[in-house]
Amino acid sequence: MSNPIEISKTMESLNEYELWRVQLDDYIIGLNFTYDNEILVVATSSGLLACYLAKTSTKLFEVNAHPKGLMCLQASPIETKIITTGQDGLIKLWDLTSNTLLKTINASHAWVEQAAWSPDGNYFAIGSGKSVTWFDKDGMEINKFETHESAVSGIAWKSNSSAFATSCYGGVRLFEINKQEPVEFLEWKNSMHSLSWSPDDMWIGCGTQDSRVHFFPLPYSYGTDFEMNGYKGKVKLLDWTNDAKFFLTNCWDELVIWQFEGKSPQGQEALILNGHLAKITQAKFQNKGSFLASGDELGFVHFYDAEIGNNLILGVKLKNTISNLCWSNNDKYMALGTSQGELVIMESPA
Amino acid sequence: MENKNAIPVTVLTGFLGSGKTTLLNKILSENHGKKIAVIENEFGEVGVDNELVIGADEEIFEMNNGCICCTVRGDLIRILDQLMKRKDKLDYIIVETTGMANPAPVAQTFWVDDDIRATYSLDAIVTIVDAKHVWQHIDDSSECKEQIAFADVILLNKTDLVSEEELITLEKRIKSMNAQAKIHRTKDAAIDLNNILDIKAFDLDAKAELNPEFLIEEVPFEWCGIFDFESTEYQINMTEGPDSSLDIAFVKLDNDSEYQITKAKKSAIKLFSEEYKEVKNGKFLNSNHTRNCLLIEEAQQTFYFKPNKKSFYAVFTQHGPDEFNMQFLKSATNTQEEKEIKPINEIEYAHSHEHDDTVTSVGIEDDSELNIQKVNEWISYLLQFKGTDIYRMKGILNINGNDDRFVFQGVHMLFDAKADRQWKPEEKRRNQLIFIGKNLNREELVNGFKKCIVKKQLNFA
Repeated sequence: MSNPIEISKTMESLNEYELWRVQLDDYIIGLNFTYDNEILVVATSSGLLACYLAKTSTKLFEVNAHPKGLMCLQASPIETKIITTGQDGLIKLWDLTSNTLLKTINASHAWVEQAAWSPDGNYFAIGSGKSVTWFDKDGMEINKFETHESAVSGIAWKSNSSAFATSCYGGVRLFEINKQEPVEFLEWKNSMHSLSWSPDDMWIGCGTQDSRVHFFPLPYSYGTDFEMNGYKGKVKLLDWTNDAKFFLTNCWDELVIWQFEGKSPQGQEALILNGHLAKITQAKFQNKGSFLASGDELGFVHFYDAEIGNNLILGVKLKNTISNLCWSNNDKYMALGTSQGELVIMESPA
Repeated sequence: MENKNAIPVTVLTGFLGSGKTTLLNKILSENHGKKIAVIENEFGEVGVDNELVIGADEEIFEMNNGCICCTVRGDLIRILDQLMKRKDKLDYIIVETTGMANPAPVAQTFWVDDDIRATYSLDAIVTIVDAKHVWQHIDDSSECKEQIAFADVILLNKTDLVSEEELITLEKRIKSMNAQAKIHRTKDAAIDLNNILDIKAFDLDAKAELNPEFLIEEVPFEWCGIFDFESTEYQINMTEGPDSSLDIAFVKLDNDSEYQITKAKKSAIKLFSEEYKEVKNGKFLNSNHTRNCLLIEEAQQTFYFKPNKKSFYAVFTQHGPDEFNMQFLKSATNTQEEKEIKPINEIEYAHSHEHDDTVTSVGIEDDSELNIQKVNEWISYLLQFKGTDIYRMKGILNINGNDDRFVFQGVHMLFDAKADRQWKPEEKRRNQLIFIGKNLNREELVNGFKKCIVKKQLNFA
C-alpha cells in the first residue's frame, strides 16, 4: 500500500496536462461539458452562468442566471440545452447554440436543489422542497408529486429513461414517466441524502445521515436491502462505472470502492484508495471505463484506475478546495473548479 | 465542539409573540459590522429586515446511530451546507425556531453532522420569554419547558407589563427548571448584544465557568426557620398538602448568626441527600441531624420532637410550611396550654422542584477528588440510561492526580469532554456539575457522584 504522504509529495506538475485556466470570483458549484464536448458550462454559487469554448477558453456567454444563488447545473446528453436551478425557486432552460434563455419555470417558493436529465435526453426532473416535477426536454410539465416526507435529496434515472427515483427522509420512491403517483416506495427509516441508480438497473444506493450506504435491490420484491457501514463520515459522493462493476463512495479522506458485477458486494473487502490527506469533496468515474478522478479540501486531484487498485496514477494540485470536477463526454478532458473560482481544463491521464 | 475558524451560530427560541422578531431586528440593525444570516422557520409578527433571511421548513430526522433520542434538523443541514458556498463569507448565523420547536434537534445537529461541525460552532441557545403571558404555557406546554430547560441565556421580555413581585416569582420558577441559564430582564427585547452573541456556551475551550448562582439558588428544600428550642417536647400540626410526604431536618446551631445559618444550610443539603427516616402521624421525629420523612396520610396530623438540649436550631423543610398549614407548638403540660412557636428568622429558597413540573435542574458542588475511571463509568451509565431525560449537562471536575481541570458537556446522549486548563495555585479545586432535564432524581445523581470520590487513605507514621 502506498504511503499517502509520499504520494502527495511526489505530485506531478499540472502544467504538463493543463490546457487553459480562468479565474472566476466565486465558488464553482457546477461544471458540465455539452454533449458534443465543444462547450464547457460553469455555474457559481452566487448565480453566474458562463460558457467557454472547451478547446480555447473563448468566452461565449455570461449571465447572472439566479441572483439569489444558483444550486444546480445540468447539461442535456443529446443537445446543447442546459438547465439551471436556483434559490429563487426558478428553473431555467437555456440553449447554448443561440445563447438564449428558452424558458423560465416557476417551481415553487422553495429552493430548487435537484435536477437531472434522463439518459436519453428527452426528460428532466427537478426536486424542490418536498416535491418532484418532471418535464419533457422543452420544459413542458408532465407530472408533479408533492408529498415527500421531507425535501427531495436526490434524483436518479433508470438507464432506459422510462423511470426515475427520488430520495428523502424515510426512503426512495420510484416513478414512471406517465404516472403521477410513485409506482413503488422503498421504505427505510433514515435520512437519505444522496442517491444513485446502477447502470444495469439492479441497485439503488443511498448515502444516509448516519454514515452508511443503504442498497435496495431491484426488482425490490426479489431481494433484501442491505447496508455498508464503517464510514468515517457522511457518504455524499456516489458513482458507478458504466458497466456497473464498481461503485464509488467517499469516506472522509479515502475512497471506498465496492465491486458488484451483478451481485451484492456483501462479504467482500472493499477497495480503499487512501492517497488523499484531507476530506474528499468530489469524485467521479469517467464515462466509459474504470478511471476515476477525486478532489479534496486541500486542492489535490488524484487519478486512479479501479481495476488496478490503490495506485495513484496522477496527482495534481490547485490552490483551493476542489468544489467540482467533470469529465468530458469522450473522457479526454477533465474540468476542475475550486471554492475560490479557479477553473482549469486539463487533459485526462487516462 | 471547538473549531477556531468556525462560524458561530445562535439558536433563538421562544413562543410566538414573545419578542423574537423584535430582538432579531435589533441584532440586525445594530452597527456591529458583522454579516449575519438568519434562518427562520416562522414568518410572522413583523418582518425581519435583512437580505439574508432564509425560510426553512422544520424537518426533524431521527438517527439510527444507537442514540434513541438523537434527532437532527435536515433542513438546517441543507441550508448551512449551501451557506458554506457563499461568495461573501458570513460572520454569524442566527437560527430562529418556531414557537413550538424543541431545541434538541437543532443543538444535536451541531454535534452529529460532521460537515456542519467542521464549519460551524453552536454558540448558545437563547430563549426569549414573554414575562406576562408565559404563565399560560409554563405548566402545560412541554415545548415551553424544553425551551427554558435548554437555554444558556433567557431574556425575560416585556418586563414593563408585570410587577416586580411577578418577575421575582417567574425568575424563581425559571431557575428551578434551569438553574444554569443566565437570566436578563428586557423591555422591547433591548439587550447588550455581548450578552447573547458570541458567548461560547458550548465551547469546551472557552473559559469554562458554571454560573455560580445556581449553587446558591438550587437547594433541595424551600424553607428554613430558625428557632430557639428548649429541651422539652414540641409538636408539629399539619394538614394535607401538595405531596403525600414532607422531608424535614433539624440542624443545631451554636448561635443564630448568618455564618452559622450558612453552615447549617450546607449540612442540610447533605442531609437531604442521605437516607431518610419515615415518621407516621402521632410519632416522634428525630431532631438530631436526621432527615425525617413525615407521612401525610390524614387530613390532620401531629408529629412530636424533643431537642436534646436548649439551643438555636435551623429547621429545613422540603416545601414551604404554609403549603401544609404547618404549626410548631410547645406541647401542653399540666399547667400550660399548647403554645404556637414562631421562628425568629425565616429564609425562603427557590423551589428545587415544582409539584407539577417535571423539568428541573440538579446542581452538585463538592471539593473532593474524583476517580476518572469511576467518573467515566458514571457518565456512561447516565448517557445510556438517563440520556433521554437529561436535556443538558455541564461540569468542571477535579480529577485525582491531575493538575488540569476536566470539563464536559452533553445534550441528551451526545457528549463532549476534555482536559481544560491547569488549576490555578490560588484556586479552590472544586467539582461543579449541573444536570437539566425531566424526572431528574437528585438523590440518585448525588449518590452516583459520591461513588466517584476518591477515598483518602490515612497514613500513620
